Amino acid sequence: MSRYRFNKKTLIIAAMAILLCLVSLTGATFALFTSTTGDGKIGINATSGSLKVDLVDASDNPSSLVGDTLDFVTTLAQDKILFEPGATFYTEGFRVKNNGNIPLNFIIYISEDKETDADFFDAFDVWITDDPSRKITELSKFDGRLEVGESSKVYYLVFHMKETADNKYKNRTFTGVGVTVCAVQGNVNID
Amino acid sequence: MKKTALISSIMTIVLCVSLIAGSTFALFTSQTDVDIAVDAGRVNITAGLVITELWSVKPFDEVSDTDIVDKTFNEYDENGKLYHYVKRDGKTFANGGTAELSDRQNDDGSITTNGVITLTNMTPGDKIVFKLTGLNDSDVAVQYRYKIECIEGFDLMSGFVSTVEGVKYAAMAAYTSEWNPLLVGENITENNAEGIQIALELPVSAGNEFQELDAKIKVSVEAVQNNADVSETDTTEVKYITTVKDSAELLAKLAADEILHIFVREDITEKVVITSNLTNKTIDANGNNVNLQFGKADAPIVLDNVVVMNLKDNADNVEGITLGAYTSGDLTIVDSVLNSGASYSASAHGAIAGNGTPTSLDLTLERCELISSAGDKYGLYMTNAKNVTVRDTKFTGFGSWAILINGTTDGNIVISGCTFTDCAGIFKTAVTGVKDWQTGSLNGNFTFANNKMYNCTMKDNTFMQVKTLYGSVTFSNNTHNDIVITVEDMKCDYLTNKYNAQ
Repeated sequence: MSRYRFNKKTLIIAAMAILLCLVSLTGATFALFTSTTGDGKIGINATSGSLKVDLVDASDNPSSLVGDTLDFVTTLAQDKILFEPGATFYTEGFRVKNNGNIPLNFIIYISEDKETDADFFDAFDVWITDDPSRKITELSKFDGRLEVGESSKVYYLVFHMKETADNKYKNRTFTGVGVTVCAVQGNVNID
Repeated sequence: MKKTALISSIMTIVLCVSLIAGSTFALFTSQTDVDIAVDAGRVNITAGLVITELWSVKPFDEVSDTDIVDKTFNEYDENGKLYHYVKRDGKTFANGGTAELSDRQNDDGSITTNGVITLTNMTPGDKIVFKLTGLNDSDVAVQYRYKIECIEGFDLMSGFVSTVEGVKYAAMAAYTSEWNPLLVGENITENNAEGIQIALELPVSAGNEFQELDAKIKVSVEAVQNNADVSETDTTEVKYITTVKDSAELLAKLAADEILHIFVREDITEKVVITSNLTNKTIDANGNNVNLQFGKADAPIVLDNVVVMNLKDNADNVEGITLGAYTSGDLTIVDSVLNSGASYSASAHGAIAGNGTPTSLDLTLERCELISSAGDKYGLYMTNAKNVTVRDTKFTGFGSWAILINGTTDGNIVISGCTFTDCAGIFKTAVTGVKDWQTGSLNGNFTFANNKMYNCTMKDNTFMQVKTLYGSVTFSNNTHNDIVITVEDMKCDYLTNKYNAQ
């Protein structure tokens, strides 16, 4: 029969090892298991659109007309445009351009500043056309739509002095009359 | 028997016995090893995003019978016109903006599947609905919570309306959910459906100030082992972005715990004196002139993660940023223009006037421009500091030290990537002077690297003054008028000796 004796020294060492472990556990701070997923690696990148409309000249290489004067044109041999009751003059041509990155709906209206005489619209009708030989549209009933980067046809504003304009409009000069383009994003209408 | 042999034998035996008596018995032993397999658990959640719906508004009178309309609420523009959200087919909004889900290439080279949603050209009336998904692929049950945080582009974020688990939040800066349990192999759910539903919309009422902006939103899911004590943070927390236009509003919003990011929309020319501790606040001056004093003599304050950004200080006689003995903690100033409004002999000095600052103030300056309007002033002035970090900042026209820290810096000073133009004296610190506040030391390390000097002159026969520095000196890649300069060119013997002795 074989007999085995436990090595006493070995047993003592084993007991000490266990003891040390216990000491470590009771004296330590627990560091929990944690995980953070997607920290900086999941997200949303958002950009908002740009709505930009411009009035440009009718040339092949157009530049902005903002701040400039839109001249009247005439075939008459005169160096000044002089309105009289019943007279109609066209402006030089211009385009509306979408310089933003979203489609837009636009209208054009005649804007007045404090320098504009209050009775200007009593004396004048304003229309718009894309061809002086064709039908004109009341400016107040006109609107358009432009896709991204698109330019409109060439438009002309048509100013007509009403036949009913009486003598109080003689020798008058109207200043501060502006042309304004107003645009909104393409999925809504302009009021 | 030979006697010798006997004696040898006896001696051997004696020796053996001696050895035996003095040694440890090597007994018969036996050992059987039993392995105990110890595997530590693994906590991990795999998360991602899923786009579920896109919506864009239509005027109420243009909605057709075939449109799928969200009738839960109405949108009105500034003229009172009614719009309805109509569901979109595909990945585009009504005005051509897009929503794409893709994998994210991370900075560490890893790829997060379905990690990023990219939204382009959003316009008022666009809305995206998406889900945050998450799977507990740990070995153990966990508790999880998720966070949604704007990290860039607070302008645009202030215009968004965020909807999280059915609740709308306007101008949300950050959202942290409460903790929820999740078993092994279980998916994150909301109302028994997989994933957390989140929506982001730019409402119809958003005006032109939200055009051409960018925003980045970070989404993360945190998990801890299930038996962790999370009771202290087990509540939903929402932080907001807000806008102010005057001093009283700014002070009120700074005191509001739920406000994270404050836009100042107009100049505030009188000095705004802040007398409350601030934690996790950003004051975004948005290019306006805002004059800020952090603390005052009878109301010292502690700053914890406070950022001032986009400030454009006028060249008036009021300091843009004023610090003092009453300011401690950490303050970061970024992307700002600061003029030295204080006169040389006034009590406050510098474009950033830090007269009396203590060694418990940590200051970081990044991508700023400091300008001396009269040429005889300091740029950044502090009496003492904890750490001072100045990066990518321009100093122009300072006739009496671009950077002056008169007393003690308890930590490190880093000046990196800066440009000094027409300055007399670049940097001075820890120089014994006449006054007690002019005596001090630089207790940490000094780094002056990648800086450019143009047409700078010496002040008191030197470009730099340092007399007591306990840390190391790094001086590298600096130029003056595009010619490389060495530490010796700074004409500061102490600094040169310190550098060469390393």
